[in-house]
Amino acid sequence: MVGDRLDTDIALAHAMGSSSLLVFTGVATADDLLTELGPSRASHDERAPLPTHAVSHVGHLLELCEQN
Amino acid sequence: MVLVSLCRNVMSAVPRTAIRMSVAAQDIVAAAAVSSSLVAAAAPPFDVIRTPAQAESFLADHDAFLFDCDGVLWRGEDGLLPRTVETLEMLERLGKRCVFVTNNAAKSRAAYVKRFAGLGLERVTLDQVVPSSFVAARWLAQNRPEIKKVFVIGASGLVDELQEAGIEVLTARSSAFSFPSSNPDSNEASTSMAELGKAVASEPEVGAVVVGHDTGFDFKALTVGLQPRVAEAATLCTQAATPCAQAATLCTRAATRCVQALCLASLFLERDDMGARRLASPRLPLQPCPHQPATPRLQPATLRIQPTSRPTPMRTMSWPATAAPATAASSPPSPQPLGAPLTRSAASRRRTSPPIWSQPTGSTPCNLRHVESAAWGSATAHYRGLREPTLLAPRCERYALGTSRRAIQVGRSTAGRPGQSRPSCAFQNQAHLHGWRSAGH
Repeated sequence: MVGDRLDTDIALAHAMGSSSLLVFTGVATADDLLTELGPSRASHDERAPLPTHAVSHVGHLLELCEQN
Repeated sequence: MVLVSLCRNVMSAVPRTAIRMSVAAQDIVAAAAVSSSLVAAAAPPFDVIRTPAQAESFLADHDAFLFDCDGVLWRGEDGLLPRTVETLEMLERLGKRCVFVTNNAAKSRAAYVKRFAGLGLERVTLDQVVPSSFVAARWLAQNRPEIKKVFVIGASGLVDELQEAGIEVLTARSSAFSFPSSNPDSNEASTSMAELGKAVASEPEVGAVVVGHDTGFDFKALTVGLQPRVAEAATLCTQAATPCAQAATLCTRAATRCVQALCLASLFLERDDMGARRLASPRLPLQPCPHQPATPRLQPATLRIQPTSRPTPMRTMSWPATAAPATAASSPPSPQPLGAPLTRSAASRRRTSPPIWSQPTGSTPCNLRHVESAAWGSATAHYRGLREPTLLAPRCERYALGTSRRAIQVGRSTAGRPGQSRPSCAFQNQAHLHGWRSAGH
C-alpha cells in the first residue's frame, strides 16, 4: 500500500497485514512521523500506525533504480 | 436557518486535504539525529528507502501495489508529481500489478480513468480504479439487492456508480423535491418542511440513504435524509450489513461531515427545547453564522419525536465500537406512516436498534478521521476481499468496526509491528498472494 497518510493509508495496510510505503508528498510530514516516533506520544491507543517503508516521493524509486 | 448554517460551517470547517511541500525522506533521519529528545527516531523502525540497493530490494519484494491517489500520484489540481508516469511504467515493465484506490466518492471509476488519461496515464483501465463510490454501489447491489432506489447525498460520481449498478437514485435536486416557493421572501427551509415530508412519503421504495462527499449539501438534503422513514431504511441497511460495508455505504469520504451534521440535526429534532443546547457538542468545529439569527426558527412539525423518559444524550457523537445489536436483523422496525410524527413506541423502538447518529454516550467518541479511515479501509479491503473473502474479511471487519484506532491495534497484533520478524513481501502471507494471483491477476 502506497499512501500519504498515517491514519488512513498506512492504517489500512496494517489492517490488511500488508506492508506499506509512506510518501511525503501529501498529508504526512517528517514532523508527523517524528511526533509518532517520539516519547511525547499520547497513550498507546492514540498511536498512529507506522509504515514499513518510507520514501520521499513515488518517483524517487525510479530515480534510485536509474542510478544503478 | 440555524441548521443550514451549522451544516455549511461543518462542511467548510474542514478544508481540502492540507497540502504541504514535499519533504525528502532523508530529512527524517537527519532531523532525528539533531533532536536528541527523539532518540527512538534515530533508528526508525521502518526502512527509509535512500539507496539504489534499497529501492531494488523493495521492488523485488513486492508484486502488487495499491496506490492512494491524491498526495501520492498527484497533489490536488496541480497535476502529477515528478516522474510518476515513468515510475508506473517501470512497475508495469517489471510485471507489477498496480491498483489505484481512493476514498473519494465524488468521482466514478469512469471519471477517474478519464482523469488518469488526462494526466498522461492512458493505460489505466476501469478495473484498476477503486473509488469508494464504486464500492458503495457494488456493495448495495450485491448485499441488498432488494433495494432498488436510494436517496443520495453526494456528488455525481456516486450517483453514476449507483445507477450503473442498477439502482435508481433520488437526490435533493431531483424533481420530486422541487417546489415552487410560494413566498420568495420567506424562510425557505421552514416552509418546505411539510412539503418535503409529503414528497418523502410518496417515495416509499427508497431503501437506503447513501452519503458521500457533497459540496452542494444543503438543508433540503438534510431534511429528506432525516425523514423518519428514510432514516429507518438507512438504519436497517447499515445495521444488517457487515461493518465494512456499513462504512462504505454511509461514510464515504467527507461524508462523515454530513453524517455528523445528520447526527447533530437528529439530536436537535429529538429535543423539545431545541436550541437550548444546540451548540453543546464540543467535537464539532462550529462557528455561529453571522448572517443567521441567534435563535432557531425551525419548527420540525413533521419530524418531531415524542420525548421519552430518558433524555437524548448530547455530549458527544459516538461511533459504535461493537457490532450492531443482533436485534436489528431479527426484528426490523415495522413501517411507520410516512412523514407522520413518530410515536412514543416508535421512538423506543428506535432506541432498541439505534441509528448511528444516536448511539448512547459512553462508547468511543466519533472522530472524523476514524470514520474516514474506516471507509477508506473498506474500499481497499473490499476490493481484495472479493478475491480473498475468508482470509481478509475478519480483519477488515474488525478494522472498520470500532473507531479505527482501536481496530488498528487489532491489525497490529495480527500483522505484527513493523521492524519485527515479518516477511518482506507485499502481503504478509505468501499463500494470500498466490491465491490472489491465481484468481486472475
